[in-house]
Amino acid sequence: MNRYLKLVHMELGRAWKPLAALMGLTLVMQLAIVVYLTRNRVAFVKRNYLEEQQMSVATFVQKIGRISFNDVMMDNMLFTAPIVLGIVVLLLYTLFLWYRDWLGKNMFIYRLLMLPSARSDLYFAKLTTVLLLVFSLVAFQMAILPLLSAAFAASVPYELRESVTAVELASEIELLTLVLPFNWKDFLLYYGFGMAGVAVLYACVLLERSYKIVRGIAGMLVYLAIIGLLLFLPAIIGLLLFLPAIIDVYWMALYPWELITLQSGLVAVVGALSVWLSLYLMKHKITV
Amino acid sequence: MKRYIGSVLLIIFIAFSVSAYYLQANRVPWPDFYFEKVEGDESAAEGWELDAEYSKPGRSDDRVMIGLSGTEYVAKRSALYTTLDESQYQRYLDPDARKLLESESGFMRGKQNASNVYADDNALAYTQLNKIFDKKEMKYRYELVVEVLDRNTNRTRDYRHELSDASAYFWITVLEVQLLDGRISIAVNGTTSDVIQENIPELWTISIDLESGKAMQSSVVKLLPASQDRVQISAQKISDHGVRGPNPFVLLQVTESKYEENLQNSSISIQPFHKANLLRYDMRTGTAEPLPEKLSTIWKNQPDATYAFDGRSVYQLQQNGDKLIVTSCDVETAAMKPGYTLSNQMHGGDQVSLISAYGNNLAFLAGSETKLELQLVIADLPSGKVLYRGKLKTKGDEDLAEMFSSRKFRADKLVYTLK
Repeated sequence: MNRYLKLVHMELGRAWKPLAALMGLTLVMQLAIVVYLTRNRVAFVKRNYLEEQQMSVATFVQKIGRISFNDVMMDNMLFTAPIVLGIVVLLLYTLFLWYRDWLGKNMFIYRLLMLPSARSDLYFAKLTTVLLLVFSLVAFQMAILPLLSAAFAASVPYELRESVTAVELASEIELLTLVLPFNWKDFLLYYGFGMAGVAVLYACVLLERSYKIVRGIAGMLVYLAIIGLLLFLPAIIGLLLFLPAIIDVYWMALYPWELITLQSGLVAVVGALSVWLSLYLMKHKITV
Repeated sequence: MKRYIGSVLLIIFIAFSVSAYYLQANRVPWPDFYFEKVEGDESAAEGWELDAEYSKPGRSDDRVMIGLSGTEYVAKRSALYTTLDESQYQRYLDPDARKLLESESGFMRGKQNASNVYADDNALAYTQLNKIFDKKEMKYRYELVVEVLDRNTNRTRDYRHELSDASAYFWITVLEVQLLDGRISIAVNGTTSDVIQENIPELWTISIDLESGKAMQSSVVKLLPASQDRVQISAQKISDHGVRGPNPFVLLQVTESKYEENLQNSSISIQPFHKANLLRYDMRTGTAEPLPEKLSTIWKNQPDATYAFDGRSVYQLQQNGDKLIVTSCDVETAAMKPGYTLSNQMHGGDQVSLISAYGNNLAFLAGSETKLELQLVIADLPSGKVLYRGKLKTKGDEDLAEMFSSRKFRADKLVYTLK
């Protein structure tokens, strides 16, 4: 356990720079876009309504409505760009986490594999690192929402401003509702599925590392086909059992709770299978 | 330990941020609404919910369901489950049909159209109309697939019947499914695609003998308009419940729409004019009879009357300012029954709105959205006796009148939901 924690700490230590860069970029870009767009909107209101049309603030509020965060952002792509970038970088980092050790100057993986601890510690340390990196970014996004809300408030005069809470703000931006789902059950499902996806990716990397390019890729394809078959089991059940008479779309054969439970169960099986395969490959196929 | 301070802090930061966010999300900062009893018995209002929207300025509208048990914001439900449920069972809004999905989950699996279900104590039946493209003939065929479950033996039988001459229709739908005299009867509604008789609704019944599986078709009833002068005709079933028990009658609201050209100041405006008559279709004989003219409704823009059917009688619910005028007719005998008028008994000039009926209950909102008082009234549909009257209120500091006047709150409809 101690060695596993040490390995997690080491991996986090190696990842903190890109993580900090992503966090910094998210903060700067989102803050800048909020301040820029909000100030633009305030200037527009002042110029067009309060000066040209000589509307009083009270009349503007009554006729047009106060300026809100939602009005200003309107799912602005620049606001969501750091989130998309974060997802892409983390996805690449998941691969980089393994290949860096193998393809780096000193083949660091040899030192890691020869450590006097179970190889599973290394595998779980890398898996935990990705999990912690994902949640760090999610938590960071959650943490800066009040800051963004405050920046918005500071850019709009009180009498023109419509205040929103951080949760309300998150529920207004479509991509944020996926990253930070309102319902905690959805949160567990989305991130559970995500982690199973990372485990599958790790298994593919280790297959390639175990059998090298050609055989590795062939093994990877076979493995992905097995996983695809497993994940489409509800479809197959639907096709075989219920399709002939009434139902013409497979997933209609299952009630929503059945579909969610079955699919979650299958994703868990896929995740477990991937972890088992990865551990097997690390123990028996990867040699130093 | 000092070496690990960075990792520990990161984990604390994640745990704190995520839990703080979900704690805040759980304490929805939107108002709680409830009904406070003014008179009657609260049990009469159980199941009735006000489907409304609360809009905080600067945010999208939030759908909120308000019942006797309190307020539920739809945004708090699981988005994944709600999306799946709505995409699969959006027609099972009817509580009885929903109940059937749970009690007969095996038979009801994948059967997504509540109006194609028949249920009584001994049997369940479902019909689906499949549209199949025939590659040889290069045209569409329509096939009825019927499944019948004997609830006593749990035995299922299925039947198939191809609709002949189906290609002559624009579209065909199943109106009603019934088990009558040992036969499964399916009332079908189609619109002809013939150029001359464009948009003429037609009705017929196919009955299949449960033992032999032999199908018979009744003669076709054409719903022709009274005149051919710029008239569109449409037929809509008046539903009593999503799932019906034994009843040979299908009630149809047949609407004739006429568009009159008015020449005003050298510009032509087209004014719609609609008239709805009620038609009783008997699935045993395959014949249609009009119900008394007194039940007809005429309107130009928005109809001021709706219909409710409790399986025996049809009710015309007509809104007239602060009054709700209820006219009823026995469907089997086509004889008018004594009607009644419900007044909202609150303030002069206030409106009766969101009139809805379910089973033997009639529900409506009384009052005005611009005034403080808005009441949910539940009455017995056949007699008009008020069973429950409750005032809509908010918990905390939120002022309902202010919410109405600033359009932060909008009451959309009254629905009966399964509790």
